[in-house]
Amino acid sequence: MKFQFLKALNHADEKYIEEVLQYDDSSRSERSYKMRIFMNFTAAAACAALVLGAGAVAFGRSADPHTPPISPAAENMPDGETTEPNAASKDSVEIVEVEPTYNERIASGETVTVETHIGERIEHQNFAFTLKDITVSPTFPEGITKADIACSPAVAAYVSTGDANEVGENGYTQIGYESSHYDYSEYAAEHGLPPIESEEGCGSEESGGGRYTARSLEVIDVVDENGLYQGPMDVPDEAYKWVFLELEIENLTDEKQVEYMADMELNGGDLIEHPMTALCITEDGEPIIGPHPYSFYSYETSVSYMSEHTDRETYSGQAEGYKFHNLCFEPKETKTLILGYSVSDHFVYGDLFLKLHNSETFTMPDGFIYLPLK
Amino acid sequence: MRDDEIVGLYFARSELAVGALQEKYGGLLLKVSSAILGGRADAEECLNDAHLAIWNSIPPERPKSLRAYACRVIRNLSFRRLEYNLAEKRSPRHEVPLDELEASLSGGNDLGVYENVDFSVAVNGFLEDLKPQMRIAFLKRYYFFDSVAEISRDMNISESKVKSMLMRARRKFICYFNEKEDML
Repeated sequence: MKFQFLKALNHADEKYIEEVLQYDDSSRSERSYKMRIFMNFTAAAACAALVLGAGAVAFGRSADPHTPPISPAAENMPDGETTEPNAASKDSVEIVEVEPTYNERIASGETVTVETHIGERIEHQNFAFTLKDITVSPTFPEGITKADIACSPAVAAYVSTGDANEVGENGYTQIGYESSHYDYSEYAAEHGLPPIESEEGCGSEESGGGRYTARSLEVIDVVDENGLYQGPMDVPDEAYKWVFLELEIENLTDEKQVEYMADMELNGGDLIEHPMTALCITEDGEPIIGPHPYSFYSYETSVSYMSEHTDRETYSGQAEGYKFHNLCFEPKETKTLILGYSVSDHFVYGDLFLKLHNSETFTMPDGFIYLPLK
Repeated sequence: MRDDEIVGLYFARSELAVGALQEKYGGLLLKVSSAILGGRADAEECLNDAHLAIWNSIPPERPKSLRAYACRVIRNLSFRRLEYNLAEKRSPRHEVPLDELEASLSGGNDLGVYENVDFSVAVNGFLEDLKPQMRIAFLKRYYFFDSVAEISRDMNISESKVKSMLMRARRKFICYFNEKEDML
């Protein structure tokens, strides 16, 4: 059967084969381009190291004339010959790219179009923006503003398409990210998550000397019969089904004045072709996702484990997960969180994980709630 | 040299065409053949056969995509060679290293039972129905025999996503053939 299957593909029209080959061409040139940038970086770093090293040597000598030369080779150079710092240092280190989703190559000042990964509007929700500046940072800078980009090899790159202070007006569009991914089984084992078969709803858990209770957890469908959003927040979009979760957390009894951090993870079923996008999260009515896009990152989780171990067909795909940090709770504080996310019509169900952990010990999970969304 | 120029050389019956094709796409063709045959020696023989076959077929053929055409030729020849090798037990049994196919296709029918299905129509109909990203991943894996890691790197998506896309595509493939057979 395998043999026949592979042979059958020889009937594939040449246009499909050409499509793949062209894709490979662009992918290859993309990698080559990245490598060039990386090499520029490396060269610059090496140059800097050389300069610093030379400076250190010079400094050392001036401080102690008896210090033996660190580099005999340099000492033995003929007169007039210098250690050229690095030819590549003449090249400016120019960051002209963020991790692209669709092989977009972006230069500062360039207007580009990025496809959004929002539900069913992938095809026709392109938008253009002009990059004002491109910076490199291990984390996203505070006060990220419209059309700024933060780029790091290790951290996601985001583009804000609207006013960063206006949650819901386009929100933030992820155009690329470094993701960690793993089998759910490993993830569950690492984090002490309950088996996926659990139908547990809300509950309470011990947490690092205290206890929290998820008092109410409700899924609110705020879409009318025409699919138009009817919810309380000024969010765009009539194309999606919006679901809001209202979660009230109360009575944190921990006496220590430490923050509690909540990790909320949404794991869905059939999300590869129909990704779900979390756009809004509010705390007591105030948006807490928006001005700080770096508190919002996504990762991917393979849930193939679930398809192997359960009969839940819709788990066979890949899940997009969203984590929200910086949800801080004071002891004995009650807060209501509303999480809004969009799902496509094809979305079958998802799961909400809520974990609270103590910011001081940062042990996870101190508490955990699993809610299957049907 | 551009592909149309190479094709022009074929039409002019210039042997430079063979060298140009080899220089431009020899590596690609050898990779495809090696994946099917599992050995470089056989693959190189196949590559030579492919050059001859292309020389004999162009003209009159004028492929729109020379490299896609060449890939199809060497794929055909490589599978033919593999069948020959297996039938004659001329080489240790080689399995095309696509283990995931065993499990996912075992539930389906042997493709031989689809007597009424026009394979060309069915395969291309199936490919047409796939979304571009899935189609590219599918063909990279099962036409060009790229590894999952390579696909992941080339397409800038995680390996787990590649695997799940391939799994879905395989299922769709079987369903598609079953539907076609039922319709006839």
